[in-house]
Amino acid sequence: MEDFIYYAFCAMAMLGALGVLMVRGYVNAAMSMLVSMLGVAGLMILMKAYFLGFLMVSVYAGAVLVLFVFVVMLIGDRNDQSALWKKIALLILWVLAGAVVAFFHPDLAKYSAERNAEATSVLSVAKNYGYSLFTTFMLPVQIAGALLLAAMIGVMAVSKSPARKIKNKETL
Amino acid sequence: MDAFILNFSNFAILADAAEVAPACPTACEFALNILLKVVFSLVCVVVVMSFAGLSVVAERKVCAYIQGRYGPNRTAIPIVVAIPILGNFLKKNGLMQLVADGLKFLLKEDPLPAHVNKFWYMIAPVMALSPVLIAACVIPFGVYWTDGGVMAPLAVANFDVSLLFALAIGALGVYGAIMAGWSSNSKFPYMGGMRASAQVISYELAMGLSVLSVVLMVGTNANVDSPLSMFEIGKAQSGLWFCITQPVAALIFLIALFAETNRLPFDMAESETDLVSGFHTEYGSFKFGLFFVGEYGHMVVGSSLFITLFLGAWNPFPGFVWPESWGWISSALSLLTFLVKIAAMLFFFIWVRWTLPRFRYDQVMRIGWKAMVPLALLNFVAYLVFVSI
Repeated sequence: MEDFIYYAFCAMAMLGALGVLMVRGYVNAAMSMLVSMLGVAGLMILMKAYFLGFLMVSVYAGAVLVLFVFVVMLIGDRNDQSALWKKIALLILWVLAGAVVAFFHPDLAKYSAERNAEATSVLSVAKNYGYSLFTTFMLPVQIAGALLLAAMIGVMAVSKSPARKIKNKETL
Repeated sequence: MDAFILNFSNFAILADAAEVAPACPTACEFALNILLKVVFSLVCVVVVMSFAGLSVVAERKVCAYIQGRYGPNRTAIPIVVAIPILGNFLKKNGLMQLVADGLKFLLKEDPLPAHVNKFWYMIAPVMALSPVLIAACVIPFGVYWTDGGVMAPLAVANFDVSLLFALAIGALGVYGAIMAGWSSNSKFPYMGGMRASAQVISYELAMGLSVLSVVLMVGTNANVDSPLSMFEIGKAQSGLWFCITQPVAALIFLIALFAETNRLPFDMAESETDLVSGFHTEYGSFKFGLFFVGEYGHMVVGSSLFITLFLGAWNPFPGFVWPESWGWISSALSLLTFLVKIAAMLFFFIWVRWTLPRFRYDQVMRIGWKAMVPLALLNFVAYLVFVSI
């Protein structure tokens, strides 16, 4: 039963990722990404990382992707004009990259119950995330936060050039 | 707690089933388990759906009352109306109108406009309704006591991050509105879908921040090991309710809830005055019915969240809990308390809708980003400081 669910989520994640590359239209691509994210979240939950899995759904599927769709709709959905062979080439490139990773790190590509059991004790308790974020990974988290802040200020500075007047501010 | 293989053993009915089970071989037990899960899920869906249906009637009746009208009181089903007292009661209170409305959704022609993106147009109503019903499975509708005297919730699934589950799955409901607006390929639905997405992003942040202070409050108690569980949060309100100890958080959550459920005064996605009917303008018949039920179902689930977080869950008054010694009467009363609270919340939703005018879109955005988020952040930081002192 658990194996079946595992493969179902795997298929969701993979087909969703495939869809992002192959479908026409940005909104369709975003929806494929949603399927892929839900699949990945499902895999996390299957590994008993409930906190991480639901946080993934909440933050990425529930907020970030909604933002993507909003932006796509704001600038207008256009069909992706790039040729099919380019997409297929890109796909093959990704598959090759995956194969290389799997070749050098066979552990990463292997699903086994023992590894799950090992991870369970750490991942299933939400408290552990807090402890590790504020002890072991304190510096990386702070640096990532500072980077994001800098990026946000940069975007504001770039997008708010005085030359461009914002017309129809309230048309939405 | 094994959350993935949803634990249904916390259902009172299962206690009876378990006594039967040992006589069965393993396969029978397995089948019984699955059957019970299906039955419990169905019960949960029926509760949410019937509340959604009744709130449609309540909406019409309450708005009529507020506007000094009678509301629906004539629709009659031929044979049922002949029943002496019940028939008249159903007729006068518009409950037969509910049946008529439901039949109308089912039996009318199902239009499929030529200009829509057919795949997403067909799927969008399902995307709006299904997350609501999934999220309903973690709501603790009441409590019961196991044979060992341990309190357990009357929920289909009870696990240690159930609050996060409800918020995460509930947030997916907005894709229904977005995809409906986009796939309709028509300007008013398009704007409605866009507004829905912008609104959800703006208010979800405030909602999450307001929930955090409650989680912190529950988590600081040393006896609680999983403060993200809705059951634990409900249990922590045996004394003062969190709407009394966390009034700002409760207010922010309530306002954000109105925005998330697309209710007036935050009715941006389908503001009839400027967008015809918003994201479901192009929909008719049963597909529209699904959106309609989805909206009310979202209200029911949202109300249950608010009740569990701030209004004392299944406890009747602040400082009073249904005593364990009353046994099953107590757990029935806890269930009843929760359902009455849901009904009261639904009335509140309707009351606000017919009292306050709709905000303008830019006002909604301004309130969201310039008032709600900073206020929620301040409240959280203030509480954090208060706790750490």
